[in-house]
Amino acid sequence: MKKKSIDEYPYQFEYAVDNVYGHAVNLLSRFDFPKEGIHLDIGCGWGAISRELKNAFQLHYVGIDADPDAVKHLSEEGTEAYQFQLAGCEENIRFIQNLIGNRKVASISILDTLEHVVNAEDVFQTIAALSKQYNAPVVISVPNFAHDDIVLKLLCNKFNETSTGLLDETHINIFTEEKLAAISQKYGLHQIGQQDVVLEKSDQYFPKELLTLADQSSLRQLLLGLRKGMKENGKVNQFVRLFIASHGVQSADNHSKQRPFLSIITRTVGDRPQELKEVLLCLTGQECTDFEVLVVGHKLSVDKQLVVEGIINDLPDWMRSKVRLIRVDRGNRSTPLNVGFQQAEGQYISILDDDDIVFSNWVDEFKKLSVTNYGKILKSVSVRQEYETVETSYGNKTSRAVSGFLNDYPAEFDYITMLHHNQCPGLCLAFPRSLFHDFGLRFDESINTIEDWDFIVRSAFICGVASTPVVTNIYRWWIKGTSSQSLHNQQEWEDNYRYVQNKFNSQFFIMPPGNVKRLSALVGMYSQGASNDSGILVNDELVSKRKIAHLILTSNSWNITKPMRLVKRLLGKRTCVPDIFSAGEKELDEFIFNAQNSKSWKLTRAFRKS
Amino acid sequence: MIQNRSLQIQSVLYHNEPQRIIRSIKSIARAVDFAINQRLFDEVTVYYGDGSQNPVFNEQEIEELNAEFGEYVKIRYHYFGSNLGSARGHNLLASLTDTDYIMIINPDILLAPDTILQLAKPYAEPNHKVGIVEARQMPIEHPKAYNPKTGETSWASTACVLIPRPVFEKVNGFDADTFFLYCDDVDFSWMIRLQGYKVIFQPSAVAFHDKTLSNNAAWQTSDAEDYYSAEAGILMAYKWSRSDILSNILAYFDNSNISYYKKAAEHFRKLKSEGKLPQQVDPDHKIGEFINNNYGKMRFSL
Repeated sequence: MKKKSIDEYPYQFEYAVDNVYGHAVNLLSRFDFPKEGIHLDIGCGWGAISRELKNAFQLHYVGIDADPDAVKHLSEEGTEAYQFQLAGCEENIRFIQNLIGNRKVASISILDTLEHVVNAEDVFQTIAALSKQYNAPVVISVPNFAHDDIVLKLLCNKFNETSTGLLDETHINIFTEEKLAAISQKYGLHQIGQQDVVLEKSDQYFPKELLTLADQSSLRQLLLGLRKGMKENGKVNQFVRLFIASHGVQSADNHSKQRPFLSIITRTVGDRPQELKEVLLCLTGQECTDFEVLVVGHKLSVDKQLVVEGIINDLPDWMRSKVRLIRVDRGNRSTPLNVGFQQAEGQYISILDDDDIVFSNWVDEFKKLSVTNYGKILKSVSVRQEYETVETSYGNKTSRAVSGFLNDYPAEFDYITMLHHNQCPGLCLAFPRSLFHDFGLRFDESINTIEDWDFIVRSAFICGVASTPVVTNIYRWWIKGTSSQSLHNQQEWEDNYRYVQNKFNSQFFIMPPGNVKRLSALVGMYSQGASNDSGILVNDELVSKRKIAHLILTSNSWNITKPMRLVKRLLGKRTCVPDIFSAGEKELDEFIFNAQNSKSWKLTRAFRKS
Repeated sequence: MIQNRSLQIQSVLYHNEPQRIIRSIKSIARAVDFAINQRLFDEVTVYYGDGSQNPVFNEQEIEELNAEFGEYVKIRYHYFGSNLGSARGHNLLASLTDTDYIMIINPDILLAPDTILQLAKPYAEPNHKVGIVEARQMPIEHPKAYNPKTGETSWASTACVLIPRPVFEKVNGFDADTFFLYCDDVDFSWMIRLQGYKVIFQPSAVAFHDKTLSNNAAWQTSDAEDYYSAEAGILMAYKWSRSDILSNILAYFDNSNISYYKKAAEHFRKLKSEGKLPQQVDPDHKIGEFINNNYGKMRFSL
């Protein structure tokens, strides 16, 4: 921030417990360091923290500033202060060492200064060298260029510099949290504390009628909702951080980093060693090998960990080098997904559970789809196949398919239907890494079922979905044995369903093009269903019959028995399906009776979850 | 328990991509490493027979492969010079060595690290009279039925099987004079059963066989597969003494408007007129299983 004259900024307003100066002193007070020697305040201005440091720690305060008026003011009140224009690292250190002499530096601060200096990296290097030499903690504060108010105004082409504040016209450098962390690490300044100054509305909150700023506008709510997961620093006015120096860290250059195309997250609890082996074998057979595999072992006992490690170690060398085992000993089914996504290096991230099966084109189809749809969720097609466990006298416990391929899952991603129920097994999707790493989307760890549906829907409405009709994988459906379908009771499913629906209902969604007409048509059908030709409302019984018919037509059983109806049709017997919103009572009665009394409906009772 | 025996893993190439074969070799080397470590085998040869128009590998490439994988397997390569078909190609490859066991695989098969160990397990008890052991193919599992307790099945697909050489020789290998591309393995399996041996399906031995589905989730077959499976269907019915089925198939093919059906029926009649049909076996129908156009019961259809 620009230093103002004493007339513009009366001294008594400079220090406050809830401003940057108060936070800086508080950070130092919380850190247990020898409070002997001098406190070096670089860019001290009018010495806002001098009195507090002297009173609280009995430190000898020394200020350095480029402003002669500020230095003069401090000198006149008896505070040691020097005028100096920060320059290259060597020159800075020479000047400072000279003024320190034989004294010990206990602590250092550089508050709201780095944004004004020409050579900021030299200054970081200078304070890192001093901190290291004297083991002195350093408080740094810089304004947050990524405050919501600046970002939301830039979206509307508004960039208003002011004489002071976040967009002070004298700023030379701009900082975000990421940038501050990167430069600090580079010069060996390791953060040990933080107490940022948070302002819900900064000095950049104008003009208030701008729709991205106006509190109640949907646009603002949508954008704030999206920004909420971004490390939660959109309301930070100034970052106030405490560092101590050690060796520098070569931070990864995320912009030029060579990432694998796909990170594959495979959850396992270690009780399906044969199936895990098969998943890895399927990955060994991929046409496109531009991937990494993160096997996330969830709450593995030592014995099971050894089994999983053994399966990975047994792989051919080229494949083994692509696989990492990550242990997660806490949380529910969502936790290993969050940990896996966090550690994923890939441009895209997919979930492939330890009992899934993929064809050789699984990664390749995602990659081909990404060429023209980069940034969207990528979707291929899953088929369902029923499996059961088997153990012959000569072999180990394993599995066998007991059905053909059931084409239950649609080729296209249907945004509207997905709001009602999940049509996408996790393995048919690849998510852009940015969803997790930039937008902060997480699998909800408060639910133990349908966590994938919740994540898919929230993601899909942010980045969209590109679909290919190519079948690339088999979703194993266990007829006997354990699976998420059998581990959780009906009540838990229903509770979680309501929870997730409420969650969807409470937030803004970006509806992609092509859905308005569908919604309109649905409303049209509903309206027709709500009234008869004379405009008089139909009776409740008819409405309830339409609901029953609708439930049948959208049930798992109806989908699963599609091939049987096809055979029936080939034999010349058609299944009469009425238009449920225009059909009369008799027609609906006939359809419901025939559907509920059919052999296939009885056989597929197990698939009707509610 | 098999101990310190010799093994030949053999595969017939036909215009395959070298990179796919090399990836297969990598998986074979890993599986062999385990088999040698467990002392099942002490000497393993991988023998490729190539029926392609132009050789898939040259001598130098084979040398390089041996340099890379020689610690585990000896890689040998024989260029046939013509397309001998799968049955004749495998017979020829088997005749080139005298290993104790023969493992037949498709060229692009990927083995799991323990596939050879699992395939060898049923041979632990010689008195069980196991004649051939088949691995489970992935990602598309073969739908034929097997006994979930014993693993016994009607026939073994030779996409990935392990056979003791004496059994292979006892049935004179594959009937290459009759079968060119399809059903050679069904016939071979039934001939083994005719000698009193069991055909075992080993579901815990897995092999990745690169197959995909059409967009409507259907099994995809090529024109060659369609024709040769039709041709082989007629010959199987004839060889295994099922005149009832033979006449049904011929009648169906003759009346069909599918060209390859007609062609297959014509081929059969030509062989018959030239006296080139195989010797008929299993007159009492104790082995051959013709069930709903399949060679045994199916768990499901694809």
